[in-house]
Amino acid sequence: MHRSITSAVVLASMMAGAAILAAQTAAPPPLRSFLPIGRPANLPPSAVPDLSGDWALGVGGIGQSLSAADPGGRMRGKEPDIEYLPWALAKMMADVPPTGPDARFETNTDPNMHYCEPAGVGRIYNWPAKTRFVQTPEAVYLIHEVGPTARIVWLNRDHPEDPDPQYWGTSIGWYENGDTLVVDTIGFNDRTWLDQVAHPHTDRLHFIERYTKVSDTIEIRMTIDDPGAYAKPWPGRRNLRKSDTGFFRYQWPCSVRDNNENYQKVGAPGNPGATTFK
Amino acid sequence: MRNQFVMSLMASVAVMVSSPILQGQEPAAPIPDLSGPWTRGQGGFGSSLSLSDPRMQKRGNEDDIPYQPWAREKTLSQRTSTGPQAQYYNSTNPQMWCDPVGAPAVYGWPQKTEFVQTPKAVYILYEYGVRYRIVWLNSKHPEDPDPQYWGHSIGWYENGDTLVVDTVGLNDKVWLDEAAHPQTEQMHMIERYKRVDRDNMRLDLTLDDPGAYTRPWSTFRNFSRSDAQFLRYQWECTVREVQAHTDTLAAPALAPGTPASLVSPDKLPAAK
Repeated sequence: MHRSITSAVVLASMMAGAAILAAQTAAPPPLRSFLPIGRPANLPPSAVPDLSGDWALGVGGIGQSLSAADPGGRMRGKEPDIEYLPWALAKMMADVPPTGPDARFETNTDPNMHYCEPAGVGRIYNWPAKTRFVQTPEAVYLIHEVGPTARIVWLNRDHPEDPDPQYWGTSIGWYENGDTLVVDTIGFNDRTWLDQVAHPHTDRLHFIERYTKVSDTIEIRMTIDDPGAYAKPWPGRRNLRKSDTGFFRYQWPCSVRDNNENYQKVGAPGNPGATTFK
Repeated sequence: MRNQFVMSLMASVAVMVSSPILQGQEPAAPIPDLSGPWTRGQGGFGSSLSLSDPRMQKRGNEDDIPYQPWAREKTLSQRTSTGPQAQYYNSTNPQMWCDPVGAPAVYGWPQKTEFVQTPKAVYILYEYGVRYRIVWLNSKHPEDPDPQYWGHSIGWYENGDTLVVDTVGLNDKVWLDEAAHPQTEQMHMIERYKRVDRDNMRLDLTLDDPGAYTRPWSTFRNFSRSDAQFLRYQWECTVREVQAHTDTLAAPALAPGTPASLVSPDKLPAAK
């Protein structure tokens, strides 16, 4: 709530400033993205890598932050590979993560924990849960135990012209080099955290994922391309390793009622047995 | 398409290899193509699973639901969010907390369903909540599955046109439908999805829960094929939006200006 009021105030003052500017010179339209969106032209044909199997977070894959330079979240706000716009840095530092070095569980502002907001494309790989890739000629289905929820990556389509902003955006994909699935996503809303430490994004987010199979590992190289929140694109990393413990044995649901019951029972550091959100 | 072709080719090879000569068994049933997406069709259950009362006008007194006494009482003690007796702002519908909706309640919503068929599993994808279930083919239920929202489902094909889904391991937290019909952890649910023709599919549903009902009971609904892209709109449920909605409308049961009211457990309407 506070956040939305704060951002409304920020937005209003930005708009007022923009109006004055516009009266002086015609302001250029906001930059849509730093990097080209969608499938590159003249992409050489690629064999289809076999991504079947169950994939769990791997060694080096578990992290609080998507930042490739700071997966543990210890340099939150000062990562060498992230150039924040000032409002984005301020918003992130005002948010309280439920885990990691800056965590204050009992006062966390995590939209997933409070409201069961969807995890979103980057943060879904923060859970110690598994993912499956179901590959068909038309699409790749990313089947996540978390939720449980699924994404569809359309293989032979272009992005829609002007997609409505939604939690998971709209994804298209293609294969490269015989070993990589590239997923290109736009059309996000601005409500999810990119990771466990609350990296924000706007509805201009252009999120690129490159899933490369290297023997029993899938390396995920992400590019966070959001001129609304960052001064340049920044790299995110996760690794998945092949798992043989069975899929969907635990369904990782989110229920606000269950959250309340569990945290009442379990309590939280500094607030035993009395954790309520708000 | 190519994968499907390869799959059916592999299936026919497998059928030939394990042919009656080797096994002394009937050849495996051909695999029906359930690809959709599917939307609500004409006929069958509605907001309530009861075929005699699809619009929830006789909740608790439907003549086709064999309640045990406690299950009838429990149904009547719940406050629905839709229908003639709805108390939206004071509802005990688990959807007010965005709990996983579960099956069959998910079919009370108008959003689309998609089947992704692979040799080892069928993934049933739902636009509502953006959820899915897995139906394991050629598999068995575990001995003692932990109760969960979507249970443990196994399945097989019959008659070349039907996918049968057999589910146990469900928890008792969901409503079976908008009418608040309960289930217990003893629920055993059997769904038969039959592809009737190119544009139609029928679900026959049998609910076998000796914890809540005196005998198994059945219902059905029809689906029709949709031309709209699946998951073009992501029907996510979030409590923030439920709150925004109820607060905007100045919910009488919730003090205005207390947006956390639905999340704060001492202010939650009793759920059980």
